[in-house]
Amino acid sequence: MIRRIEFTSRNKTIFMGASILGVVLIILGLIVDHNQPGRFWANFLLSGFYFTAFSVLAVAFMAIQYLASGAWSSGIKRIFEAMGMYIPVGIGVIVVIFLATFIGENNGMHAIYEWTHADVVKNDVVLQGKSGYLNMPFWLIRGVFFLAIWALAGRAYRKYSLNEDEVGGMLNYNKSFRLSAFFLPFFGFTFCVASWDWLMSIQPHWYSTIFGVNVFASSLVGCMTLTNLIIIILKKNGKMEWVNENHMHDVSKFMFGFSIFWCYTWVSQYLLIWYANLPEETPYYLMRMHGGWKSLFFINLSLNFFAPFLLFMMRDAKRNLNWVLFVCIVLLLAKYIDWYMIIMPMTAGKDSGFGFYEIGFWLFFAGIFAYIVGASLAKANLLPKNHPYLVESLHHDI
Amino acid sequence: MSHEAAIREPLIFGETNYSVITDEICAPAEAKPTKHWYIGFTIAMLTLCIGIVSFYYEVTHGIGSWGLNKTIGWGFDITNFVWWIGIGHAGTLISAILLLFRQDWRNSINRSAEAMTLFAVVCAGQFPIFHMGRVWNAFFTLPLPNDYGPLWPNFNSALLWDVFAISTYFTVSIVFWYTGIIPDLATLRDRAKSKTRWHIFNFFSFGWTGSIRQWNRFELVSLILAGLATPLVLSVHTIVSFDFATSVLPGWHTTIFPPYFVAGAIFSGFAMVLTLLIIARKVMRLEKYITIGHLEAMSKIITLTGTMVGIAYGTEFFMAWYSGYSYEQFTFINRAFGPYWWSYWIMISCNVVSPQLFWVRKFRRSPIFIFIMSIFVNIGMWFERFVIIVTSLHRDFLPSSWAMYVPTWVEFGMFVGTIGLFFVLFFLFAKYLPVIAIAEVKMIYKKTTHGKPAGAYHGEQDYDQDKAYELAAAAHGHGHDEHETVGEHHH
Amino acid sequence: MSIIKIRRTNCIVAVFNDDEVLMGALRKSREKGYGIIEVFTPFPVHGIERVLGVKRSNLGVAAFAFGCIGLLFGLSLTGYTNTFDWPMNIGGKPIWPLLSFMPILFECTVLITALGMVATYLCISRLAPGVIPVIYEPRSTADKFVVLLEIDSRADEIRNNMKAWGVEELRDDVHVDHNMPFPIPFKLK
Repeated sequence: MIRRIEFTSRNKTIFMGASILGVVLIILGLIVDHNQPGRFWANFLLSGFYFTAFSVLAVAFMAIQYLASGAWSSGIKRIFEAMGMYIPVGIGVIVVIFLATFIGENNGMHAIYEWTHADVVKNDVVLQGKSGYLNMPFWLIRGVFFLAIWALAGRAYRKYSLNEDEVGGMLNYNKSFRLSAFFLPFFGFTFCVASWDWLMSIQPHWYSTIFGVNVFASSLVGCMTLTNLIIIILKKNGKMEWVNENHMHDVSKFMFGFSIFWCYTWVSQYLLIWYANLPEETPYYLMRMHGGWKSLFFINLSLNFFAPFLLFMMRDAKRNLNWVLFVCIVLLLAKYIDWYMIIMPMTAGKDSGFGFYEIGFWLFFAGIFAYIVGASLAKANLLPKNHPYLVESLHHDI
Repeated sequence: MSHEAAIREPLIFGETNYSVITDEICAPAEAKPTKHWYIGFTIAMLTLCIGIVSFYYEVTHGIGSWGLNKTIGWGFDITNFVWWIGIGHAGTLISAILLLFRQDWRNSINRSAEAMTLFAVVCAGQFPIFHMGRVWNAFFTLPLPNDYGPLWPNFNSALLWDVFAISTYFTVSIVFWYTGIIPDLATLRDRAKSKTRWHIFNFFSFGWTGSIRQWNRFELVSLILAGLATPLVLSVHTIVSFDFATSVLPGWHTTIFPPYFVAGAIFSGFAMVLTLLIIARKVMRLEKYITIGHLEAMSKIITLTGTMVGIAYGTEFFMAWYSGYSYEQFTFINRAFGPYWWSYWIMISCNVVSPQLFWVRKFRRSPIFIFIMSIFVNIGMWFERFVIIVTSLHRDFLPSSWAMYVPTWVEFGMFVGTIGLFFVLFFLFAKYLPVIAIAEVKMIYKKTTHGKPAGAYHGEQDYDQDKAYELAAAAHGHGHDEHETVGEHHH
Repeated sequence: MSIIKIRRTNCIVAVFNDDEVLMGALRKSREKGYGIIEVFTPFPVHGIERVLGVKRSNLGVAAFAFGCIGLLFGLSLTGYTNTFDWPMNIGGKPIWPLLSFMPILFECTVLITALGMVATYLCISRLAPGVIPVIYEPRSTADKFVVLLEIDSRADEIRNNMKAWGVEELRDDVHVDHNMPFPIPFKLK
């Protein structure tokens, strides 16, 4: 049975159009908000990281499903595979930020990371102590290495899965299973390190050991949100008839559960820092709880925790297509604000706002993401054939 | 009709049906205690007596009978407390979180694991209570109206959070456990051979009949309780970790403590479940229901949580360096290479290194090997708490007050005593109540055994997934998985 | 809409050996419009509520209500004692520090939700220590599946159909099991 979708030229135009519109907005931003390199590069990192993190989690989620013998997700597996195809763009983000550093003093990494300025480090004992870790070449090597391995794992899952469609048997399943066993611990470790490198080191004096777990929770919620969004779009177009409200219910449960987990990590970090009140740690929150940031600080908590918690509490809420669509949009915005709060105060600082740059960069990467995912989904059968657990997913009923 | 994939390993091995399941699980609870039971119970009682003597000595002589000093205010007491509380996490994890994740294998181990949880929490509770010294004033921790002037407990204190967290956890765990055991008590009631026994079990089974309405509500209550118990179980060890992390002490104040403590708790809890169940399944002849596959699944969770704990150790160590905070750096160097270096390396080797052996399939399917490993993990997790507590305290900010901690016989006696208490309670449970959730095993019986190709069974308890796939594909034709009923399955 | 009727009428007891056979018989009985008074099973049979049209219980609402009560209880407990009755300066924190009361609020909420919901469940299911149940077949908590069928003018048809649909045993409405060494106390609702 062939269940394919077509990646039409109309789709291509829309997605490429979104990216081009993004570029136009960025150029407008350069004209209107000129001389704001901090804000420019911070937005590049924010939107670049936003979609990359969600895609990486798609690969990690596949690994979890294989290891836990999860069956319900095998019917929507192609969506995770397609999202995994986006990861190489993340390498591009890292490399561009690195290379742009050489344009001038206020560009690329210099615009984002305080520790790249030699004169700052010279006068700062603490940063000197960290320079063995926080230095530009090592930062680039780590970033590219992690992303490359994640991308390769994503490709491997895709390859095995497509091969499984052709030949059947347990061969490819077993390969994927073994890959998962090695990938998951690697991912757990490297994703934490990557979150320190890309996000935490923006405020280089500040540290929090739970930081990586918090970013992981955010990314998993984001990944599940995008998955639900893609399911909804496909279903609204009459595709994926084997996916029903039961599958959506499960994806929604992950959104719900990990939004609570996100709040748990957020509170753990905030409460401990608030309670101990140490001068090493509190500046992070002092900066984000005063001035214009204060309202955003509480909006962040509301949208990321209270919104999904209340909107998704009832069982039927997780099974209603349009309601889920609404929550997905809320959570996409919530995740954006979450990382906006992490990145912007130290980079864009007083220039922060919500304008051409923010919308432009988000649209630019969203267009690329949609294009890659759409094209990958169209390349293969939407229903993975011969997956040994598929029968359970097709009869999924909760 | 069951739609379970052919490659899923069956959770029940051997010939059985609903009637046999009932008979086999009820048998130990209906028979007279065996000789082994009496021997085990006596040993446990004697061990408990050691504890009673030690507790008595401590209460009459005061905390001075312990090896604590001005520098090291927490030693064996809090180490044991956290260790026991950690062990008390697996039961609720199995019954709640694995229920939410629809892990069917939990159905045959949840009852005993949860009972174990309750007993572990009972043991844990003794230490903070007796650490108060004047135990008769323990009610000061409760917000009771009083005549001492408006003297209320301080709700900002992490130690008071503990009082609330652990008592809530204990209460909700009992409620969850008891809600689940009601139908099984009714089964025992209906099998009763004497009027007295019938009335006793009817009293405790609340007059359960198993009507559809009862089951309908039962399932929903279990699900909602699972939803409540999931954040609750996370909160308990989180709040225990707050006892340390809300302080400003290097080695204690670190934000990863909450999830890291929870992972460690699950890790040690599963180890204790394995320790008990590997013996219980053998002695009570329940290998059919607690299969090698169950042990393997738990071993995998041990590997996962052990690795998570390992990553947390690494993160802490790295962040100590990264922070540039010299006291933090000293604490961690001191942990690994200071006078208590041995406890640190016992912790690392038992918790991080040894679970990696479970990567080998043969190891994680060998009950004896798993049993030995579970003991290692129990030891490792005890030392983890010892390392966190004692090595962070013994060399504090003032080198003139650096000290060492040596426990006295009273502390050893109390620790050993709680182990005795734990086993006394577990022996009583295993004798008088069904150790496996009868109804829940019946619920998965057909799903997990029917439609599995007979040719895929190997040896006594081995199931060949590859072979199962082949046989199923041959039986259903190649289009087996691309199911004809696609799209028809909407309710 | 539920077709299970609470009222006790003239009825027969159909005992089944297997849950799949039971489900088949129930499905067909519903098609024929037979009155199913009650079904007793040893374990929750998947999908049976759907066949019988039993609505999903509303216990979730009770849980939510108790949750709100629990939260309010926690807020008033901490607020009254530590903020209103005897405010104390603890490490320079505010006297109404919602954040450090949060663990208490959470525990109170969970505790009262769990206790309240389980109490509701026991009440509406008529479960309590000392309740003497009506038992039609003692093995319905072990390996038998029991259906209580209302007998109307189609008595013979029902009996014959039940036999055709795989019933193991058909009995008149007898609650006392004579195989037992003692009669089970019978209680009319």
